[in-house]
Amino acid sequence: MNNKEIIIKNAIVKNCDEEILKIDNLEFHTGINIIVGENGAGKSSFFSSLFKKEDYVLEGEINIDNYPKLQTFELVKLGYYLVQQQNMVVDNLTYEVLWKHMAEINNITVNWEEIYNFFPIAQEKLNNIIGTCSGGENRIMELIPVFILNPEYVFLDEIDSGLSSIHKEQLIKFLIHFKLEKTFVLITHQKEDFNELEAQEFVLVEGTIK
Amino acid sequence: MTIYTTEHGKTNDIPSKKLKGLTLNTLKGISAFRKEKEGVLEFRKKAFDVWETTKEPHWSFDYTIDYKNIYPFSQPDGSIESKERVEKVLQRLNIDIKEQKRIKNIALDFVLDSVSLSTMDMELYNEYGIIFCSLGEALEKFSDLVMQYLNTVVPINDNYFASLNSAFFSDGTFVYVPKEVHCPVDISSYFRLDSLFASQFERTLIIAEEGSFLNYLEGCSAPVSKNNQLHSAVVEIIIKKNAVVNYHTLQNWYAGNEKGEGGIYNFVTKRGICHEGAELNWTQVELGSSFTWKYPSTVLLGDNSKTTFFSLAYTQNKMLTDTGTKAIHLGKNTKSYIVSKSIVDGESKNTFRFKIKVSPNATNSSSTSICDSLIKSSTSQSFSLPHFEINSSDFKNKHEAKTYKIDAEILFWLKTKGFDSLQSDKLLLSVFSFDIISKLPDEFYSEVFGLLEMKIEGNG
Repeated sequence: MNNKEIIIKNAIVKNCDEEILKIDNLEFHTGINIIVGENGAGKSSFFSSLFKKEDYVLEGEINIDNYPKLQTFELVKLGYYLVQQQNMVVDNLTYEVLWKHMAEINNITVNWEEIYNFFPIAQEKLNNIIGTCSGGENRIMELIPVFILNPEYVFLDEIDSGLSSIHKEQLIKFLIHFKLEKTFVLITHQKEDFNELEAQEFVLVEGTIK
Repeated sequence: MTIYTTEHGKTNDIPSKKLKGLTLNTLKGISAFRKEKEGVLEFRKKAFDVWETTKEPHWSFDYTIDYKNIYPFSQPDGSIESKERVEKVLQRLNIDIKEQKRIKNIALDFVLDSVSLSTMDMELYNEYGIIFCSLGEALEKFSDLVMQYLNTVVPINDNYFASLNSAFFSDGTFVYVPKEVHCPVDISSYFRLDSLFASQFERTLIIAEEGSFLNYLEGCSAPVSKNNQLHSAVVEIIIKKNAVVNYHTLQNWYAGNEKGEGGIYNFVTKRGICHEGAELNWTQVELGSSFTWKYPSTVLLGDNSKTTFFSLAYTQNKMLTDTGTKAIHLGKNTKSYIVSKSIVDGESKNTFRFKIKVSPNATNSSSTSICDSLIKSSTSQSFSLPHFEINSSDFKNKHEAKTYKIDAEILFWLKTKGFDSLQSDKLLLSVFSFDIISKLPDEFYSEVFGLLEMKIEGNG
């Protein structure tokens, strides 16, 4: 097992210059890492700031080379991938077009058969407009880029929220498949769903992740 | 033929014979130079009289044209140097007129400044009876046929620039497809305004006889120049009973620089008449010109006739584009379907105006119009101006218009998929435009996507 760590120390998360979260010492290791905490505590803001969404800032010690100068797409090229909680709908843009463009701009040859075998829905919904599948299907479709981009670090923001038991099973199958080679960081309100994955747990309390 | 490369933006400085000034003497000079018959000269003079008494329009944007110093006629002078430079033009544009037809199944008329470099396609004429040549050659060889239809769809007093074109028209394309003939190749015209000082007054006439079919493509380009140049065309299309004409345009005249200096004034009148059961399908991609006035229109004269209009306009810098269409429903069971997409960037302004006019006789007829605008910059403007004049009680009319901005959430989402800003723009604008571009023939399809990407990169 390769140990791929993300270490963040003495950091703060800001949104529009307002400090909303402190991080004393956070170490995510290869496998499954879970962040839990109350709604509105700043969990999603942490992901947004890490991926440099507009108006969000993460300041501190982060073990990513040249992090302050990196742009979001450069983080992706370095092996970081984010699945947001929010469902995107983009007129006229199909999954097929999106995925092929992703492969093209990153000069990646994709093993489509492997993807379709693992998630048959990827082939079934290939020509759907982004975001127009059912809620659970949309979330599973957001996992497909992990096969395309092969990131080392995957951040999943409440991807399990509202999933049917079938889709939840698919998510667990996906995490088990990759947990020995990738570092997953999940925000969830249902940590018991991931009991079988031997997850490392982090709790966000009073504005600090512990 | 490639529609656009950076080579298209260069003038070739061809030694040419030129005629200056929009005067009666110039007009006579053009007619004499082209060895036209008396009837054509009379037609020009009549149009000139109308033009002189018509007021120059200034209703949607202001501009200045120095008519006295315009060169309405420019033709390579036939010297060795001019021949070499014409060859260079063709090489730069990647055009080989004969190979074009053999490899891509496209018959091409290439118009350089005021004259066509092509001659009549004898293979199409001998095998199918199709006449495809320059208007000048058609006036010489098929004068009666041309004069029977010229000016019947767009009269000389239709508008200021139609009058101007009628007086000073130079080469454009003439196409005649006989009864029940399906044209076996795509017919294409490429208009090149190479001289930095010439204006182009192309005139195209298409006649599709009963039960015939024609796929027509036109493209254009002009070099980068700080001068404004005038391109004022008239296109007339007559579509007889149960005939179908597909008319595709990729307009990519030079659009001026980021300061709004230079560029082509593109003031065009295009119109078709559909007889019983006939069909006219327009696809218009507008990517160039500093100022554009263009409203390709269809008169649905015959019962059961129909028209579609698919339009994409991309404007940037200080371009001003006022385009649209008209569908005039005169026959019973007539249908029009209009889809317009516009993308505005920089300080540009795009207005899409269209008119649906329905006569009391046009019973059981319908129209659908969809206008989508994507505003890319805070300093650009987009307008959709529908106008309905419906005098038939059972007319079914459907209209929708939407304006979009590129959502910051979507841009961030794309960034998290590895797209930088430019790649995101290209992807989003391509999918927005897809409905229109997909209507183009295969020959244009990939080139238009490539050209659109060049425009987005700021290299168009």
